[in-house]
Amino acid sequence: MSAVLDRLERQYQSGSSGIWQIAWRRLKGDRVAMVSLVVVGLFLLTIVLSALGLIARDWDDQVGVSYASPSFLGKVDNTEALSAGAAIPELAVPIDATIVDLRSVDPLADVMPEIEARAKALQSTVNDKAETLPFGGDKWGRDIIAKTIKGAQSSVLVGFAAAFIAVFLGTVLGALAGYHGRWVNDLLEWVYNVFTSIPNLLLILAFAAVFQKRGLLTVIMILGVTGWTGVYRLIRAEYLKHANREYVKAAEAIGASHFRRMFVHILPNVSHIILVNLSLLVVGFIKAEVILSYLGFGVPVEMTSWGTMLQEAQNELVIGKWWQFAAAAFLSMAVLVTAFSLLTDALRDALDPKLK
Amino acid sequence: MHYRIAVIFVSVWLTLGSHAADMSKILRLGFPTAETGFDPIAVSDLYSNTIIEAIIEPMLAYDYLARPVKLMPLTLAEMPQISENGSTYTFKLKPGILFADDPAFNGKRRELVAADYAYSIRRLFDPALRSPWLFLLDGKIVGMDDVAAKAKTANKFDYDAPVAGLEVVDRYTLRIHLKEPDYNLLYILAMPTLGALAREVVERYGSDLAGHPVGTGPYLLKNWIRGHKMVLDASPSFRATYFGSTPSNDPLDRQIAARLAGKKLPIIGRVEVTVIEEAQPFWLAFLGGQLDLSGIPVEFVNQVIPGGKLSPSLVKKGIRHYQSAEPDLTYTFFNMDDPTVGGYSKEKIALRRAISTAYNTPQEIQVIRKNQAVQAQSPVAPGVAGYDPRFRTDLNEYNPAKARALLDHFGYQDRDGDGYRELPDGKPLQIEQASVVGGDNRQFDELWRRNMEAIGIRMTFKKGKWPDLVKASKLGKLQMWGAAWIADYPDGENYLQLLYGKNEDANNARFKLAAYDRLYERVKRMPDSPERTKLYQEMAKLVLVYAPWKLGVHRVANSVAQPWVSSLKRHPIMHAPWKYLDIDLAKRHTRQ
Amino acid sequence: MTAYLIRRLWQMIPTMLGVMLLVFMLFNTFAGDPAQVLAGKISNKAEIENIRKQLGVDEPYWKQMAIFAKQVVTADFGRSWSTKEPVSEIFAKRIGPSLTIMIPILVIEMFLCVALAMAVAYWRGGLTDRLVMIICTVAMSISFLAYIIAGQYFLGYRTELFPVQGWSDNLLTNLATYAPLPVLLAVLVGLGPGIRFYRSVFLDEISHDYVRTARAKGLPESTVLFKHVLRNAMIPIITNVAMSLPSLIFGAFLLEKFFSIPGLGREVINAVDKSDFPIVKAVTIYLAFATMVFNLLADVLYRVADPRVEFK
Repeated sequence: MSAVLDRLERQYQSGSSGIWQIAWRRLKGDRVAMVSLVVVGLFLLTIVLSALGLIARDWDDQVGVSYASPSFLGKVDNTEALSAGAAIPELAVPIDATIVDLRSVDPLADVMPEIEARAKALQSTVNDKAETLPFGGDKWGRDIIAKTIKGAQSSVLVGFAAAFIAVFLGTVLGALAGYHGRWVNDLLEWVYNVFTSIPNLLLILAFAAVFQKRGLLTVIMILGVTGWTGVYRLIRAEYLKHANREYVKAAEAIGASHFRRMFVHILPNVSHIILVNLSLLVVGFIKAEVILSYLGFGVPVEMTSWGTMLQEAQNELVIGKWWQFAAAAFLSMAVLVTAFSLLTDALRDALDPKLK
Repeated sequence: MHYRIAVIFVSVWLTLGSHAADMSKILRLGFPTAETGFDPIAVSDLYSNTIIEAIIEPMLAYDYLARPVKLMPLTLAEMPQISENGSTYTFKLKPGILFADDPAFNGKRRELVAADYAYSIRRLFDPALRSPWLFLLDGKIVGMDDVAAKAKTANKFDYDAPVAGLEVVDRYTLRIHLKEPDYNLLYILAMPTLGALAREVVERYGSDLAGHPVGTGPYLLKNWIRGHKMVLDASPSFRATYFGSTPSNDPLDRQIAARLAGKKLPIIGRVEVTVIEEAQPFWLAFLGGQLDLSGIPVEFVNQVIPGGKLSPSLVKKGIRHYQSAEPDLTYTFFNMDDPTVGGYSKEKIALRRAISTAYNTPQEIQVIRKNQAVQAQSPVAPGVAGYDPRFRTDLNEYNPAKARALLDHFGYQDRDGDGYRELPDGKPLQIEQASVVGGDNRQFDELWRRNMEAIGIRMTFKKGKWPDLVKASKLGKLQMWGAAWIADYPDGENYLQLLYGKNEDANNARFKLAAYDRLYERVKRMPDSPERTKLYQEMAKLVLVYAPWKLGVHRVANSVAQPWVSSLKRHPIMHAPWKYLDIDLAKRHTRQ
Repeated sequence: MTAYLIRRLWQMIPTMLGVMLLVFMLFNTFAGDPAQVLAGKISNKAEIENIRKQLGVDEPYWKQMAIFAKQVVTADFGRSWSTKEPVSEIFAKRIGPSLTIMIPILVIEMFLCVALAMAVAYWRGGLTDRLVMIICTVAMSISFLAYIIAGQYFLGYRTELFPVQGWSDNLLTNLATYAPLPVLLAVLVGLGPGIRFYRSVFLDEISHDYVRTARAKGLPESTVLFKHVLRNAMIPIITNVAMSLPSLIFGAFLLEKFFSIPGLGREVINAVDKSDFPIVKAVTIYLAFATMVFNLLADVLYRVADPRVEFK
């Protein structure tokens, strides 16, 4: 008896894998989707390499002069690299001024000679700064390409991590609401209504202002905790549908607990929705990170992100330094987000049981 | 016959016209930060005070042309008489000065009287107004402390209670008695904060006073869209004023004096101020001719004045550039009560000096400030009494090798091999600097972090919003934070008081050094003199060696003006010299 | 219908309470101390306590909550903590400019997106469809911030087609001179997602049986599209537009910041920054209320337009 039911259970469980195989076949035939997949794959590879420290490790080093121009532009006048402005009369130091002796009041006077000697021994050489860099430099002379790669790491990490949290929250809450119904559903619906009545940006700002500790984790938490509502809605609808299906009743008959029924039996059948929404959220959160960085809630100073780069670059157009702006806004973020979006679209089409 | 009468009539009418100001001349300005309101006692931000300066008049003002800055009577008939060794000041007002018309005056013209200044000074002490400027006169005027104390307990300030130190001798004469001589009183009384307000106006508008500044000045507030736009019109009640400064030999001075000779001020009939917060639109608005005068947003400085000279394309457009040193100081303070960075022992002094000398101020000046600043050598800024450009030390220079030597010598070594130094006793060394959330501060954070990494110190940042960090600072919870100070009046004492041990409010470093305090109490009683400057320098030496502050820079101010604006001379303290300016309408039209 | 309306309005109350609770919880754990803002450049501790007392920050939580409830019911949120201006006045003054930008954006976007989406639906499946979709996706992947910075620089300054920034008192001047560039940029940004959304709506409609019937009747494709599909698609289109208005008002803050438009979005951002509790409270409540009302309107519209839709 149980062998039959086992087989039935396995059949209903593996029913969903049929969708995946069909989807993969469809996807393979879609050229745009394949190209997008490759692009996304390349980005992810770059990011992993960067996270491991194999590339862009010294992104923070001042290898160039301030606002070094891109090599492909050739020789360009760089007024930002000038090291001095004009002298101002009131601030001019008179020629006969001498260094004032502080020894009479200095509590460290007795050890200073020794320290001075030591300091001389520690003097190190200063490296020459490059006039141009492959894609130019920012105001500190940091290489834009290295920054862009490092920025990708942060931005995509934020996007993925926040999306995972949002999807996790949305799925769990949606499952609970759709499966249990009654008061659980009512309570969760109330929470959903409250969250969706407040404009998303306002909610994000409010949370951002509340979390005192700033950092990557904070940004991720904020986006995750405010972004679960879309997934919740969809998952709840699905669970409402599936909760009364036969295979679930069959699982109940063989003694599966509520938890098992929700997450072992039903979950695989909604996994395609989860995946598509995960992708959508990743894209949305990468874009949200830009706005948050602009408002000052972005990644901390040890890291950089596309949002931070754009925020730095916002005043560079007027002085003719367009390369950081271009790299952050167009060449990296736009490419990744486009590829990701196209991939998501193709995935959604491929997984849609209605399309032939 | 009739024709003659007509001519006489018309010419008389023209000269006695409601105001000489030309309403077709509109001065357009931009503020990069929003204003907050126009009650002089209540607001402390620069931009609000700029507007107030044009509307409300204190007794004294600065001479437009004289440098170094010099005071001159504004609503007074003559400079005040000082007696009793500098404790008693007698002020005689000019009769016939009128407030701008306002419904509070019930249709009558209201003349400025001495009692108005006595009233305005009293407002400073009203606890309900919680004026941030109270420190200017707190504890200085005879009899005021009692009245103020009574107001705190009664929860209401009695404006009619007599104050011995504010004596209204007659309708136009005010006498102020101080507890002890204060050589900065006149500078304080030249601040827009102590401009004259009429009691009827204050009582009529109550908490809405911020939007109804009624003064005796050349302009009145015609229209105000909060946080966005302010329109000021020439006040019809403004007394006939002519340019009175004597020019020096400087050609600019002579030019201005010649231009303004015999002209009734103000010439410009309307001033429009727009708030433009983002740098790009601000600058593009000026380039496009929508603004007549402007500062140069620091991001664009190297384009506008490469190498300190106005770029040729702008020179061709006839744009003019003005640059001057500001009485300005930036610094980073250490919390002297903090267990890690505070304290007066040798290791702690060494730690602070190491951190200070490892910071690359020259690079901050070059990259962040675009060379619009110079390194500060002492807390006293240029352009104020007591400043000496000769005073230089090697304590504030950028020397990471010295920093490392200091740390090595006093036992701040890296014992566990993680790349960062520990405290001499082996515990981890955690340095945390506070920093306000927002794009501009990030660059400073980046520079600090990079410089600290280079000497093996791990610096983290406590990001927060301005009010939160101020609160934490007051409670002594911060280790380090950057700050800036612009002189309220042109005397170095205004900076040195920030490190006075008994100064609860503004001594954010919580610095308490007996030697310093003794010197401060001495210099407070001294007028400006070479002896006092020497004492200022002794105090500066103490600040340098004990390092409660890492001295930053003195910023340089830049402004640019369109070719059709004339008679402009940048003043370090006056920010609204609009009554002296003129606009050449023909030039502006051809440009557009 | 009336019963449905009454039931829906009744259901809004727990949500409203929930929003109030959320806002209150958030801003009471808010570390921002508004007293510090008011005290200005120099302040001492005694004065700050005084201020906190005067502002009621010291009252027990339940008391503050009760005051809050009363404020919501009477729609009077007192005065701003930083500027002392009555909150209702701030709203009244600021909503005008925001709407002057937002309504043209919504209207133009709707017409443009619907028209373009219909065209794409007409040529669906082919190369044009694919190409347009890809262009939309690319357009959507560039940050709004980048559009504004580049747009203001090139279109405002370089080409001098539009003023770089500004606003006036006159509605017509605003519409004619100052609104066009911000509106243009917002519409550009909205085209991408808009076309995609409306396209999917159209495609969804096209897959319905009545379309097959119409085609079987021999009607030309254009008539099928423009007459039948469009009419039926109007419901989701209009409801989508109606529901997006409340959040747009706030989302325009980037435009307001860069173009110096004295609107509500910028006001709110500043209020969050300065811990100006009354304004943030008021905005959240008003916008939550507006969202609920617009949602209800959309649902009612659905019902009125399509009798098959059931009320639950």
